[in-house]
Amino acid sequence: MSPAPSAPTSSPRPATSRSNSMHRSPVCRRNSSRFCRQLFFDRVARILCCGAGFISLGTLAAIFVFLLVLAMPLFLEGQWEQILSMTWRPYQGHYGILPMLAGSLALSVSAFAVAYPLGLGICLFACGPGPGLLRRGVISVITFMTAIPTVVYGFVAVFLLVPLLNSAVTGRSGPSLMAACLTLALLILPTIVLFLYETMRETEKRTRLTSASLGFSPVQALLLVVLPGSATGLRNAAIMGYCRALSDTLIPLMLAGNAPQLPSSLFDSVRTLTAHIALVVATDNSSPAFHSLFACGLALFGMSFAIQIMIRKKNHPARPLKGIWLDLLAFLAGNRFCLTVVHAWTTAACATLLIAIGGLVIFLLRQSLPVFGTRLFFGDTPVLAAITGRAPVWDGIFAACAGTAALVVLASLMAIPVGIGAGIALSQYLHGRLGRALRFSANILAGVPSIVMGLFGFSLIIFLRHTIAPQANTGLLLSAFCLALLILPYTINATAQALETLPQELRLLGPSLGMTGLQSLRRILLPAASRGILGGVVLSMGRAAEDTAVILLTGVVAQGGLPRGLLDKFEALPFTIYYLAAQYQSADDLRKGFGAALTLLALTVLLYGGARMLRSSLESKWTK
Amino acid sequence: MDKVTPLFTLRGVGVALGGRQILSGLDLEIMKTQATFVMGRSGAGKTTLLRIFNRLNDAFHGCATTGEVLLHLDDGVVRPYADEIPLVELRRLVGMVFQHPNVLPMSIENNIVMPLATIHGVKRADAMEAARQALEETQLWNEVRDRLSSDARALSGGQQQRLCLARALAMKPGVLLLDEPTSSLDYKAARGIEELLETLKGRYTLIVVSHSLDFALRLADDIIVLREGRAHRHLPPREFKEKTGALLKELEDMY
Repeated sequence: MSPAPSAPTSSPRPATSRSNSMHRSPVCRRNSSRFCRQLFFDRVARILCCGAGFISLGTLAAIFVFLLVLAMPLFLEGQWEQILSMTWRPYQGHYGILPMLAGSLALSVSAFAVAYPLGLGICLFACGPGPGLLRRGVISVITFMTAIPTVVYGFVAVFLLVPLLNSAVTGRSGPSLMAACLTLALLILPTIVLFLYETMRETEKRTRLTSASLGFSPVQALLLVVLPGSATGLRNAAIMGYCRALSDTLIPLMLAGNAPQLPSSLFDSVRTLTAHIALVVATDNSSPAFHSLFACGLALFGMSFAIQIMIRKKNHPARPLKGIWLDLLAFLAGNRFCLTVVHAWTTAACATLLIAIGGLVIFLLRQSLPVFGTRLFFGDTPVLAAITGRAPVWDGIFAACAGTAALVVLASLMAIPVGIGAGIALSQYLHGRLGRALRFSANILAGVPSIVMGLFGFSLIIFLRHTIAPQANTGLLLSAFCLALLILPYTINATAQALETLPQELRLLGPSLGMTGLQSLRRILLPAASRGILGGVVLSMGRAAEDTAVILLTGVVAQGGLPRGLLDKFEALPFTIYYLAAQYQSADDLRKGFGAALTLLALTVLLYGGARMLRSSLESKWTK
Repeated sequence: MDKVTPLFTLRGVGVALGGRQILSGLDLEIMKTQATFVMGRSGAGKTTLLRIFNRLNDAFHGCATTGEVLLHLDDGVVRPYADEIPLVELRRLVGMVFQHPNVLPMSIENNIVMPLATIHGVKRADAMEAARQALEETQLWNEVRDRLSSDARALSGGQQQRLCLARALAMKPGVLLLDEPTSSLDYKAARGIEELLETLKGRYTLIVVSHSLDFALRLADDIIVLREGRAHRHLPPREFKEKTGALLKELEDMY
């Protein structure tokens, strides 16, 4: 660029008397100190947000390094051959994790094999020509399922599905691969259906008029146009669903039996990698058994990483189904018998769903409503004394409720400001390669199994003990910290998405008026996106309330009373439910378990329902 | 202000968005207190040209502006793209009205008072007075004076657009960028905005993107015709009125 003809001066000049002229330099406006302050705050906000944006990347790196360092003795001392063996007998020096790897694969693959056809059938039904009320009803049930905590699925399955299976099929008693597989299939069903349904509905909307004008019947349009056009959705729903099945801890822990062996039939007991970590942690911390856990953690981490990389390809233009699949669909749509089969399949899928969820809810309500009352929460302790903490509660779930509340509040305090800052940075400030990398890291963090997050928290304590704080122990603060890391990506993504879906003209308005980035954010963008952000916040609070795997490794106890401090052990609702399912002594304990399950369900349904309402009211506000 | 002097000078300016060249080789002068019209087909880069002047293209990631832009202020010449004038100050000097009415989801008065208070730190009472003046200037005051605290989105399209114009005027800009301000309005409302702009001519430097040749011939001192990212024809003041026929043919060729 050549220099300007008249020498430009950028230094501030004193105000001149020509104040009536329109084209005087704005640099010398009277409020220039105010202007400098505005720029300063803008810069500070930008730096803070961008700093928060790097947290997801930092966390990922920290998890990887901690797991690697703690698994390292295995590799250094050449014990990895021991790890890669088929036998787990720690007291006799056998530390093979292959049975657990096989267990994880067997369970996730079988659960996926049940859930995917079921999910596809439900989606076809929901997009098909059936009665609208029924179709919407099925999707509502699926949406409701997202709010059911994993531990509640597990608890009901232990007392409903396992006895049913035993009496109907085997006559053998006890948990099995089959029980875990069916429950897990139910757990991952909403992930598959909602992902696929979203894509199919979009495709259907886009192609409706074209199909109709070509004279396709609704069923033909569904099979020949909508389904082939939703190839990306089919693929991503499969990946997401499988990822969920692989990373779950609680269902295998409660239902699969946990014997470290290769399963030979569907009714054998198996142990998965996730359950293995939960079972073995905190026994000892020097033997190869201990270090092998971190190898398990690394394996899980690697698998979720690989899955995220596979999903990342979704940004490429959607490829339609090709060749043989299309021929198959054409054959299905052209053959009356096949159409009947498809029809029966979709109907059966919906019926299965309704029976399973109806059974679950009715069973839970029937068992827990009779015990629901102050006695459930406070036992024999006077209510007022219990709430004020003057009298301890022995046989109520009050302490667990208080612990869960403390966890949710602490985790939210840590995660939400950082998450919103990072979301702002991703949508406003960080673009290009760096922005994409940070976004990718947030997605990977969202896919990290919660048991790995718990293991990370546990290794953090080991690190502290060996360095600055020899007295460090697991407790409320650590659990809340790990939960915060777990829910951070939800807040980040919700914030970034809410800001990015605002109309472009609204985003340009602030700058066009001469607002700084911060002013535009505070006055225009954040208020407009507030409902979407709030929805994400409430959703992540629900996630923090229901997660069990993280707190399992970071300081939850069965009998601890009210948490007395941030570093103290604590009780929590999901853990109480899990504990009572396995260790109940009396009918009273059992009733307490059902009561706690209903309480937790009510809490999460409330939070998820609130989040949905906020979301949908935002959508209607901007799309009309 | 009898002598016509340039406010913006563009020398060899080009804009690329995400590697695609939208505009290239622009050599233009925008004269002070005159009305410059930008015409051309959809996709010719009119909006991008408009957004050069307040650097709003910079709000899009992957957007690169090359060449030299000079801004002639009363006390010297600065180059906005060399950061010789702070970005937000430039935008406060150059107001903008968008194609679609772009009101904020808040009350009518807050649409004007909030930006004023936020950006200039004006006290609420003063801001209210400025809002009243701006609303009078855009002939909206009599229509909304009784319902200043109701939602701005309840106004009609033409009223909303006049509110947006009032909001831009209340910031006391020197230049107004208008991006097809009438294209989303019905005939009557569009006429209203056009008449309003005629009253603003002479007091502000107007840069207007428009499809209406009638309007351009009535108001413009200067017309820039864009074609495939280049200034295909730049008609200096007073010259194009004799060449109306040539201009019509030009436009006919393009549409």
